[in-house]
Amino acid sequence: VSEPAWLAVLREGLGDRLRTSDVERRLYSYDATGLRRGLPAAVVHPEGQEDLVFLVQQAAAHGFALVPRGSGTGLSGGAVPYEGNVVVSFERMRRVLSLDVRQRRLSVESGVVNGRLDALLAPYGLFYPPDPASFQVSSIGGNIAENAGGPHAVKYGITGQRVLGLEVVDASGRAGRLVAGCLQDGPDLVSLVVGSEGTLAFVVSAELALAPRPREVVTMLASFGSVGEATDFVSDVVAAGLLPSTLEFLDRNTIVAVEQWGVAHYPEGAQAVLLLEFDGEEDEVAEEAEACRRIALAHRSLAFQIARDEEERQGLWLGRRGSYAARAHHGRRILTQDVVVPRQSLTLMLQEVERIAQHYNLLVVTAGHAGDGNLHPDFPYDPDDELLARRVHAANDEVIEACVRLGGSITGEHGIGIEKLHQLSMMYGPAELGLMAAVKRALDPIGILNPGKAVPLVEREEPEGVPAHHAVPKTAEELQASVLAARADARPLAVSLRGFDGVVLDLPNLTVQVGAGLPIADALTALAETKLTFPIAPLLAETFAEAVLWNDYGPEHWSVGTLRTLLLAAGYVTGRGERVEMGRAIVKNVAGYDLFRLLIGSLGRLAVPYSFTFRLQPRRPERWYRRRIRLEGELPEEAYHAGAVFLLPEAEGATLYLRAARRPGEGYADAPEAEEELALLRRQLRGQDDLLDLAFPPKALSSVLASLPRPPRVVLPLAARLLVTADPEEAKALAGQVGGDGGPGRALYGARRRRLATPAALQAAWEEALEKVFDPDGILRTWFPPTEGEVR
Amino acid sequence: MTRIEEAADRCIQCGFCLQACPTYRLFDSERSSPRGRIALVKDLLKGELQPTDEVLATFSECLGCRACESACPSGVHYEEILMYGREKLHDLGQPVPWHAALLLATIRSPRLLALAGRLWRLLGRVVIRLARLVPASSGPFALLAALPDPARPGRVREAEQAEVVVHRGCLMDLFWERTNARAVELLNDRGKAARLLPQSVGCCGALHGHQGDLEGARVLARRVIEAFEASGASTIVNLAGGCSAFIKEYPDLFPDDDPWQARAKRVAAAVKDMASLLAALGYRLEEGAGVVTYQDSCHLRHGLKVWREPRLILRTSGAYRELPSAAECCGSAGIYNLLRPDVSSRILAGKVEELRGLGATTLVTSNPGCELEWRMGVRQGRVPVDVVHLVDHVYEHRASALRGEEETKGTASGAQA
Repeated sequence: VSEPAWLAVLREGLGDRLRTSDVERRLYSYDATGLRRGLPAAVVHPEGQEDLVFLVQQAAAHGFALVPRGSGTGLSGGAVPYEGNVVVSFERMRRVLSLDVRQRRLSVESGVVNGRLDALLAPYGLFYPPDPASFQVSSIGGNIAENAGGPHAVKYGITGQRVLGLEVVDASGRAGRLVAGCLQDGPDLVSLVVGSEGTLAFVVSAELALAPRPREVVTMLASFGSVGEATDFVSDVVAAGLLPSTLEFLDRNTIVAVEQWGVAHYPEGAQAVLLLEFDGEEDEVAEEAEACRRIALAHRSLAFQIARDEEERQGLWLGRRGSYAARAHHGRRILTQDVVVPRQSLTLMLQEVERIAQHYNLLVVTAGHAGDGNLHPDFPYDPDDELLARRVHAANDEVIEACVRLGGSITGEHGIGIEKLHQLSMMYGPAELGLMAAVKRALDPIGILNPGKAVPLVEREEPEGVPAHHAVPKTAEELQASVLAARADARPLAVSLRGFDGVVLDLPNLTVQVGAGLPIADALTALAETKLTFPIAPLLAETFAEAVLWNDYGPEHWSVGTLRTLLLAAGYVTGRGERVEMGRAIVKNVAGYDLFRLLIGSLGRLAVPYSFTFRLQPRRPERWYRRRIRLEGELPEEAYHAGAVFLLPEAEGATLYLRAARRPGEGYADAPEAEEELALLRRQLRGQDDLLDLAFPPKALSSVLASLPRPPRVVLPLAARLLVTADPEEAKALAGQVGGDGGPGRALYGARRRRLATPAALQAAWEEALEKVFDPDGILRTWFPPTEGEVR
Repeated sequence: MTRIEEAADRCIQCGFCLQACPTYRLFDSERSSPRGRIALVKDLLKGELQPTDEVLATFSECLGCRACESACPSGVHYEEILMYGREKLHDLGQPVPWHAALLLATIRSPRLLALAGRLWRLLGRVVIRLARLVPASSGPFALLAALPDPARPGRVREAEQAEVVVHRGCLMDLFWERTNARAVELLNDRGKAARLLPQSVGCCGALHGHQGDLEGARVLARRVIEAFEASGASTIVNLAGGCSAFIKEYPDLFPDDDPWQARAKRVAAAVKDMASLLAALGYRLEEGAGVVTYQDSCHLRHGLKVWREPRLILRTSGAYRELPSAAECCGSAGIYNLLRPDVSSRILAGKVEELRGLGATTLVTSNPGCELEWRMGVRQGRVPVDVVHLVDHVYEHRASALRGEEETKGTASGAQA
C-alpha cells in the first residue's frame, strides 16, 4: 500500500515528530470508549504552536483531517480518529508556562496532566479544582475539549469556568489568544472553544484560574437503606444552604463493584451511598459537617462515617474515582451514560433508570454527581451477546429520552464525541442544531479539525414565522416576528426588551429564569426572603440583558467570577430570525457548542435575548468594611481574601471597601453605605456619553492610573477595571493602552458602550465570521441598548 | 476465551495506568504505556498484527514493575500480558547481552550457583575493587562495583521442625548470604520455627520467566515446589520481593490440566513476606539510628500488595521519612538494568535526586535488585545514604524484646491514666 504523497511533506517538516508505523497508528486509534473507526494515516507529536500551524496549513492544502488527543481518556470518542485522519497527540506539550500566585493564575501547555498540578500548586496554598475521575492521567487540553467536570464542580464549577484565556491555532492556521472574564472584549469565544472537542481550534496553552487551597477538608460517607432516602437527603442538604465541595452518589451495584476492587470498605447493606466533602476554614467546616450529620440522621442514614485521617479519606475517594472502571467486574463492556437533570428531578431520574433497567431486564450501575444532578447510569454487558447488546442500546436511548423530558442534558461532562452524535437531536431542535453546524462551517470551512465529532453537520433551515414588527415584544414569537420584519425590510432592528420582565425562581434547583429585560434589582427583591442570591452586582447594567451583553460585573468578581460562571441557558433570536433555546437549567452541560455564553459581551450584535437562566448561590454572611488607602499603593493582603472589593477615589487617596465574613483587620470601619454608594454611582454614570470603562491586567494598574486625565470614579483593583470620564480624544488614547496585541483588556465608551480597543487578528476574524452566521444582514448592529425614542 | 484473551479483554482502556507507568512518564507515548501494550496484545491475539520487532520492543521496554496493576480499577492482571509478550520475544530469539546471559545461565543451575558462591566469597572483594576501576555509570561493571563485600554468616541456628522455610534464592544467596541467615535468626528469636531451604533448590525462576523463558522458569519452579513440600513447613519466605511475587504466580506457569498446577497453588498460598512476619512478631526499632526512608519493592507492593508492613516497622524508630516516589520503580526491575541501562539509569537518576533532598541517612529496601540499584545510585550520585535490606536493618537496629514490651506496657498504662 502506498502512502499518500502529503505524508512526505509532513515528514519533511516534522521529522521524528511524525510517526507512521502500523504499530503507532494502532496505538492512537482508540480512547477510553473502546470505539475504533479505523486507523489514522499518521500520528504527530507536536512540540509547540509552530508545529500546529504547519499541520493546519498542510491539512488545508492536502485535504486531510486532524484529530487532537490528550491522554485518550475521553468517554465519548472525541479523540478517536476515522480512517486516514492524522492524530495530533499533545503528550509532548507538557510545559508549565507561568504561575502568578497573587492573581491565582496558572498558564500551562495543553498536554499538561491535570493530576500533576497539585504537587506544583500545594506549596503556594493554591489548587486547580476541576477533577474529572481521570484527573490523575487526563490532560488540561483534553479537559478543555470536553469541558470536564468532576466531583468538585458542585462548589468550584466545571473546567470552562476556570479557563480565562486560551492560545489557539484555528482552522485557517491563525494563531492567537482568546480571553474571557473580566478582561474579555467582545463575545465569550473562550466558552465557545471550551467543550468544542477540538472541532473549532487547537488549544496550545491555557490560562487557568486557581482557587485558594482550603485549610480544612472533611470527608464523610452517608449510607442509606433506600435510594429515595439518599436523594431526599441531598435535597435537604441543598435546601439548608450548605455548599459541599463534593456530593457524590453511588448505588448498590457500584458499591459491590468497588468492594470487589477491594479498596473502599463501604458499609454493607447500603442501597445508596453519598460521599460528601466540605472545605474551608476549620470552624465553618466543622459546623457544616455537623449540620450534615443531623440531616443524614433525620433521613435514617444507616451509617455516617467521617474520615479520621488522610488514608481513610483516600480510601473513601478511591472507591468513587475508580467506580467507572470497577464496573468491569459486572460485565465485559460498559455502556456509560452521562445524563444531567435539574437537581429536584434526581429522584425521578433514578426511578426512570430503575424502571428502564427492569423493563429490559438489565443490570444498571449508577454513580454520579448528585449535587449537580449529573448521573452515570451504566449498563454492563457482553458484546458477544447480540441480543443483550441490543437491549442495552435500546435502554440507553430511553434513559436519554427521560433526561431530556425532565429538562436535562444528554451529557454533563463526557461530551458528544462520536458516541452521542446521533442523540443530540433528541435534546436540540433543527434551529439550534443548524446554528451549531453553521458555526462549525464558518470557523472550519473545509472541515479539517476533528470532523464527525461534537455537532452533526445538518443543513441550516430558513426560520419560519410571519414578519410583524412589535416595538415592545412580549413573547419570543413576537420578538422573532420583529426580527423577521426588520430582515424583510432590510432595516436595523429596533425593539425594547422591557416586555421580557418575568422571573421564575427554582429554589430546589438553585436556579432562576429571568426575562432579558428584567431589572436585576427586581430579581433580588424576589430572592430577598430566600437563602439564595444572584451574587453579581454589575457596576453599570440595570437589566439582565445589559449585564450579559456588556459583560458587566461588580466588586464581587474576584470571588464569584463574571456572568459566564452563572449563566446556564439563554433563549434568543438570531439576526437571521431563528429562535433558539441554548443550554438548560443545569450546571453541567456539554451537549454541542456553548452558544449561550457566546452572547456575553457581544453587545447585542449576534442575537436578541429574551430569557436567561442563571445559577444562584447561597447568600454569604458577609458585611462591608472600609478604610482609607493610597490609590496607587499596594493593595492590602486582606483584599485578596474578601468576597468583594472596590475603591472610591477621593481628592486625597481613596476609600477601600471590602465585603468579608469578619472584620478584615485593624483600621477597618463598618461600611453599611457601600452598596448605596455603588447604586448612586450606577445612577449617575450609566447614561453618560463621556464615560470610559477600562479593564486591563492588574499589574498595569499604577501606570494606567498615572495616565488618566482625571481621577477615576470607581476602581475594581483586582480586575483591574475602572470608570473614568474622558472626552473622545482622551478615551482613544487610553484605549490604545489596552486590548489587541498589547495584551488582554477592553475599553468601552459612552452610553452605547462602543468598543474602542482593537481586537487581535484571530479574535477579529472569528467575530466577523460569527456575525455573518448570526446576523448575515447586519440588522443587529445598533439595536442595543434600545433608546426609547427609537422604539416606536 | 483463552486465559490470555480473558486477561487482555479485562482492559477497558480507561487509561488510569498511564501516569503510574515509569516508562510512560519517561517517554510520554502510548507505546510506552500498559494500555498501549495491552492494545497491541489484543491485536496480536486477533491476528491483526504480527509480532514484529517494533511490537515486541514495547515489551522489552516495560520494566515489569506492575505499578499499573495497583492503578487499574478493572483488575487487569498485567503480569500475564507482559509474560505473553516476553514469551514471544524469547521465541524470536531476542539477543541478550553476554553478561545477562552469563547471569541467567549461572543461576539456572544450582551447582553452578553454589560454585559461584564459593568463588565470590574468595574473590568478591577483589572483583568489586577491580570493577570500580571501570569508568561506567551504569551496566554490569557499575553494578558489580556497587555490591556489598561478601559477608559470611556465622553458624545459623535453625529449627528442626520448621514452620517457616526461607528460600535462599539466587542473587540473595550469592551476594546476601548473611541476610538470609539473619532472617532465619530473627524468626527463631521470636519463637517462629524457621530454617533455610537447601542450597540445592536454587533460583525461583523469576528472572527467566520475566525474560520469556517460561520453560526454564517451570524447571526451576518445580524444584522449589518439591523442596517446599519436602520441608513440611506451612510458610515459605523469600527475601526478594520480586521472587516472592513470582512464587505467588507459579500457578500461571502451568496449564489448567497439569497436576503441577495444584501443587503450585499450594506453594503460592504459603508465600509470606518477611516484613509482614517481622511486624507480626512485634519487631520494633531502637531510636536514634538516623533518619530512615524506604523504597518499595515493586512486586512486593503491586504483586503481593505489601507496603504498609515495612513502614509499620520502620516508623517505630521515630525517624521515618517517606520518599515521595517510594512506590515507583527504581529502574532495577530484575535484570532490566543490564538489558536497558539507558532507560534504567534515567529512572534512577530522578529518584537519586529526590533522595538527596530528603535528608535521610538510611534507605531500606525489600529486594536485592533494588538494593543494588540504589547502592549504585548513591555511589554514582555521591549521596551519603546507607542502602540496606529490611532484614539487615531490623537485625542491626532492633529494640530488645524486653524494652519493646515495657514500652508497650508504658503506653498502655499511660493511656489508661
